[in-house]
Parts: sequence; C-alpha cells; structure tokens
Amino acid sequence: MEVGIGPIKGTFHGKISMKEKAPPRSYRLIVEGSGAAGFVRGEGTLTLQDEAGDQTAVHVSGDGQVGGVMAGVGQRLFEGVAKQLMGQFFQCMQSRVAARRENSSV
Amino acid sequence: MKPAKFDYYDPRSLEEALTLLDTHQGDCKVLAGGQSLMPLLNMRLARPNVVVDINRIKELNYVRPNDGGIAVGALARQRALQTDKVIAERVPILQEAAYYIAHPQIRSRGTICGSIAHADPAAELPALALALDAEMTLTSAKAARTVGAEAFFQSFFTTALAANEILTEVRFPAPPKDSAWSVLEISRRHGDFAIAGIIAGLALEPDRQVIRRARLVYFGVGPTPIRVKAAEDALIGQAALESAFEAAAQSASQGIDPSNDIHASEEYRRAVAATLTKRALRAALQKLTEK
Repeated sequence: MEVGIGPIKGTFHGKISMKEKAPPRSYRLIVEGSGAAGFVRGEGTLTLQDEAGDQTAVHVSGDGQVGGVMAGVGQRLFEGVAKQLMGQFFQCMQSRVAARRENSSV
Repeated sequence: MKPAKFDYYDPRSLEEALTLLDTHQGDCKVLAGGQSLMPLLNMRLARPNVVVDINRIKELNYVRPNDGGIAVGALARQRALQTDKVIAERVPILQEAAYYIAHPQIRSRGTICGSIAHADPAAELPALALALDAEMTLTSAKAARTVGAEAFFQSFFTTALAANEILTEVRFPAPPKDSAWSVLEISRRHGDFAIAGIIAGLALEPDRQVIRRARLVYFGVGPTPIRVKAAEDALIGQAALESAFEAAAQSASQGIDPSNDIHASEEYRRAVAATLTKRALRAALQKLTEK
C-alpha cells in the first residue's frame, strides 16, 4: 500500500483485516503495516444506521498509532492528514452511491 | 542519516532542467535551497529517483521591480527579504515577516520560491503569497502559466504545480498605498514551526475612522494558509475600534481548521489565532495612524 502527501511518500507492507463482520450493520477494520518510514497500526469501526426515510447514516470511528521517523517528523500533520483522508473516503462513497442511484433509476 | 540512492543532475539552463523533469515525470524533485528537501531525503521520507539541482541556472537568481511590486526568481534566497532595498521599499511586510522564517543559516540557503512550492501549512511565505495576492509562474518544457495564490495552495505540501513544472517566478504586487500590514506568529521557540500565525492588512476610509478593507490570512492552522473572509467582513464598514477587532477575532477562530498535535491542541490554536488577530489589527492600525 502506498500512502503519500506531496513529496513525502511511504510504502507499507502489512495486513488489513476485517473482523466482527455483521452485515449489513458494522465491521471492524484492522490495519497493520511497516515500511522504511516507520510503522502504522490502527483500527476502526464502521457502523451503518437506519435514519428516517430511506437514508442511512455512516459512522466511522478509529484509533491509530504511528511510529518511526515518520512519527517524529510528521506528528504535527497526522490529524490534519487523517481528516483529509476521511474526507476522501466520504467523497468517494458519495459519488459511488450517486452513480448507483442513477443507474437504478434508468 | 543519508538519503536513498538517486541520480543527480545539475543543468546549466532552464530548458535543460525542464527537459529532465519531462523525462523523469513524477519520480523527480527540484532542488533549490534544499532546506526542506534535504531533510526529507536524508530521513528517507521522500525517495525520488532523480534530483534536478537548479542552483547553476543563473538566470533564475533575481529580485527585480515589477509594476509597483516585485518579481522573485526561483533562486532568490529568503535572506534577500531582509537585505534587498527594492523589497523593503515596495513590499515592506515581506521584510518584517522574514524575521519569523527559521534562522539566518536557513534563510541564507532557502529560497522564496522553494518555500512556496513546498507549501508547508505552517510556513510564512505561502501565507504572505495568499495575503498579498501573489502570482506564480509555473513553467514546463512546453509552456508557462500563471496561477494565483488562492488556486495554487491545495493541501498539505500539495500545490497546483504539475510534476513536469518548475515554479520559476513569484510576483508580489505592491499593497495598496492606503493599507498597512502586520505579521505575528507564536511558536515554542523562535524559528520553530508556527503554532499559529497571521498576516493582517487594514485600510481605512478617508475619514480615518471606518474600516474600508481588511485582509486576514492565517498559517499553521489548517492544510494550507487560510484566508478568513467572514472575519474580514466583520471589520469592513465598522469603526476601527476594539469591538470590531474582537468580533473579527471570534469569527477568525471559527473560520480556521486547526488540528491537535504534540505542540498544541485545536482549542489552544483557535484561542491563539483570536489573540493574534486582535494584536495584528492593533499593530496595523498603529501603522496607519503613523502614515
């Protein structure tokens, strides 16, 4: 998996696993990886919740640990970058949901 | 610490440098002052296969008058901000802000364009570019284009620069004659990354009571330098009094996007930004009354 912001790029090797799968409600995602720049460990829970009408709320929460050179130098950026990556996730999901809705209405 | 292996080129002309960038697209970094790139290479956080050193391209080393303002070539060092008479006369806030940029050794090597191209969210020069409506020239082997500061800064270390482009020039227009500017920053130690910083501009109506224009740009409190228009609007049309400054400060603390890190919490950064807003506006007003 390659992750990067601007000139700072890291390649990480490791495992991503899904646990406690309870479709269609929730799962836990566990990420473990390491590379030249350091290591990452994290886990998150994604929960889908019925809302009024035909809407679904997506709740995501998680916790992560980062170590190595990357952590020493990049600490001040982690939270902001995490926010940005979550934003990308929601944007991506939004566009996929919108695309599927269009297809099904045709 | 030593960098990972890379191929090093030191072209003598801009054409040559741009051709190199074109050939090694995406796997290539431009080296100017090296004050951000070298640590990234040495710590192996950046591992490009090719480094193009532009230090021998003499035509890029200049600061010159441009309209009322200044034009700065890719090799002009940050030190020029403090020593160049044209800069001091035409855009004095740049001279004032240079005091906050790292340390003398770093300013002697680090370039003005390099800091802008690197786009660290806590750096002073990107914020100055945004506050002063600077224009960047992005040159590739095929063409040159101009991008305004607002469109240039996109996210953490991410700009409008394409992989085959060099930021060859930054132009800072002279701020309007009726305006005064101030810059303030809080960091743990002098020269550290800013916990929060501000560039503030202020202009009064001819009656010298009511605020005509305001510009408030913050750094260290989001993915890019952030201009808070709502805080500016809280000032425009108001009497230049503490109450208006207070309103702007409150608006600014909500209009920024700070994070928690080991240096400071999000709330602390919001509070610092509010305090800096008031101090910077008072300082700008003081300069206006002395004009």
